[in-house]
Amino acid sequence: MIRGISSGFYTATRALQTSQWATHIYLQNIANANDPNYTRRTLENRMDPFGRLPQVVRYRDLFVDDQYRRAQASAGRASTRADILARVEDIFGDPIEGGLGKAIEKFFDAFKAVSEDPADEVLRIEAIEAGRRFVQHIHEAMTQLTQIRSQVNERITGAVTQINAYLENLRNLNSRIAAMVGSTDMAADLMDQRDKVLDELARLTGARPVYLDDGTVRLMIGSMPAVDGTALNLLEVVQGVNGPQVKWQGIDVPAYSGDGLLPALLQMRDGDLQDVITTIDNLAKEVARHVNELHRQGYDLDGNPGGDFFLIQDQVPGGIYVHPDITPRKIAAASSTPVLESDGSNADKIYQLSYGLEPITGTNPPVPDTSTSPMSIYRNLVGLIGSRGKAAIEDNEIAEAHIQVSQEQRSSKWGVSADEELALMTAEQKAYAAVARVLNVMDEMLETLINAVS
Amino acid sequence: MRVTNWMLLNTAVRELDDLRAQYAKAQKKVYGRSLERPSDDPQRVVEAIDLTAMKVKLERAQRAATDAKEWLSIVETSLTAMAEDLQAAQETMIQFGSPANQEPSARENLALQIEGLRDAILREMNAQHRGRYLFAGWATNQLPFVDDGAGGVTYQGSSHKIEREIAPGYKVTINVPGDQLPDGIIATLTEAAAEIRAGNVSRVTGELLGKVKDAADVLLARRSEVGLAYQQVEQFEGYSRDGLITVEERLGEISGGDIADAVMQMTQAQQAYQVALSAFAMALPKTLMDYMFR
Repeated sequence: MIRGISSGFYTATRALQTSQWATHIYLQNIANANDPNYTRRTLENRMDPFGRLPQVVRYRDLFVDDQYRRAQASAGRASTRADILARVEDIFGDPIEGGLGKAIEKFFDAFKAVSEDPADEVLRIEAIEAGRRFVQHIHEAMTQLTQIRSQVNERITGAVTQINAYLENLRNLNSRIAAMVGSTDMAADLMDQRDKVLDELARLTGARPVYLDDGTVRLMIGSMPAVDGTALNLLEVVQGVNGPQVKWQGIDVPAYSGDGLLPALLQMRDGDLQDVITTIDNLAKEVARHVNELHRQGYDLDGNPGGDFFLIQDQVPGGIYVHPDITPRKIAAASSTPVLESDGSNADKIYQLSYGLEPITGTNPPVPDTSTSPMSIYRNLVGLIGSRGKAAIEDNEIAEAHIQVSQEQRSSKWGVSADEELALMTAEQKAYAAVARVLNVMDEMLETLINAVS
Repeated sequence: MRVTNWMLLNTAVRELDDLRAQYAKAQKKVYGRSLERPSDDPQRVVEAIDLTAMKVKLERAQRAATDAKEWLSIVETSLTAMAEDLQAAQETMIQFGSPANQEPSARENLALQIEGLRDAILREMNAQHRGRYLFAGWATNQLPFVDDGAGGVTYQGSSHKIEREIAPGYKVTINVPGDQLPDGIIATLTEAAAEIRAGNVSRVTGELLGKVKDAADVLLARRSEVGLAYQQVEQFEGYSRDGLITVEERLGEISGGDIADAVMQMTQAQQAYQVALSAFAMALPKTLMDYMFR
């Protein structure tokens, strides 16, 4: 095929425009070099044989994206667990120097002191004060745990609002991307925005996208298509036993399920947090019940039968108080009446509860079952929370490391290297200069031709 | 692998974060605060809780041992005084057996001596420590031995034993309830004084002397029990003291550890952080632009 000289001009002009466009894209890449959500772009199909315009193409890799979003979901779950468990740990205070454990020991120790010198009213005052400190520690722990639960509930509601906003945003982006086929540069910007939304939804819900032929995505949360092209299913919060529960709006089946931050919040609230609340509540009330039981069997300094040492409110978590009627003289330290001055045997029985609230079955005389001692219950709880906290921190570190690796892979695949873009820009500059030179040659050729004709 | 500007920057930030965290951790260790939360090391935290609980019990046991030793030594002193008085009474009764002491004035003298010793023994039987009667069982605020109007005494205390827990779960008796004392000795000595005045040598040196000897044996047995208890207390006090030192040492190891090692770790962490800062400061600003557009 013999081409005319004018087609050469056309080709050169197109090459110049393409170089300018490419330079513009490289500049755009450099301008976004520090944005981790930006996808590096390039021009493809620069010299289409059918004269179609070049296309702006993003260097995206779905496999790396999927890996990153899985890591995001794990990190969302692990960081939530680590964060909540860290706050639960705070209720124990300094595990060595203070906290609830020491208050328990001091309470029983105060009763031991009374048992050894039951006539000393100062020791009796100290026993009441030790009881108050024990109660205060229980109340503080319960207040903090209740606050944590309230904050978790607020975060659940907040997360649902945020997820719904992202889902709506995703639906809108889907419809705009579908409408923008052909305007590849604009669509690339929108796709970057959509990928960012998908990253966030993966962290919050463990959502997985399915890419459809029309350029839109179907987003699956658990077994539910939360967004399907331009169709949308939103979440809602309904009141449950422990606080807000999450379900799909207008749909009862399937139940909400997923991964990431939101399920972790729900699991922590109904699992670990509830376990700690129940254990501390049981510990407080079991100690109070056993102390009361023994205290009622004894006699106070005036020879009257002992009443309750603790006031117990069964319906209130951690609801124990030193009984308002208790005075130093009313501590029932003696076992029999008439009360003898050095009879502290009942106070000693109360002290012996520190070795075990229950006796080993079948022992006579009863041998305390050390696994039921208040300190044993406390230490097991601290150990459990510590172990879970440590595991959550380690999980979080692993997830964060996984995210780091994925982020680096993402950056390596489609992040911007200013050096590379500059080199490409320079190459483009040279190409532009070369085309300009070609134009010059063609101009000279044409001039020669015209002169020859004239 | 392509390396982008963001990767360089992110690596720098992450590495510096890690080094700062290591430095902070080493610093905490220097301040003896390596265990601030249960998750720092759950096993060691639980061990620390056990040790703290043990420490409270050992401290209580030490106070109980001190208290027990005080009581037991006072009780032993009283029992010793009673034994010595009984010994003196025995000697006086034997003296009465001598023909040289049959004169009325000598007999009166001996009878007065016996009565004096009897009163001294009774005083010891009603001895007090810090306002509490030693030999009254739990009724430490009641005079345990009162005159029965017939030359003897009646015990008004209780038969309870006062105990102290000198080691976790191990109790020792620190008193001698009055009903375990040979309180019949008061009546015996009253009778002996009367018989001495009456000049009844055979009764005094026979039956009554025998009763006094029996009473001395009982006292000796009580003294032995008290002495044994005292030894036990001393032994367990030693165990508690050693136990407390061990517990505190272990607690120190758990919460702080070797200070020299901790300082070394902190210095290393600090140096690593400074080196990383310098390295990143040199490496980060370099791009192709630095060489192309000068």
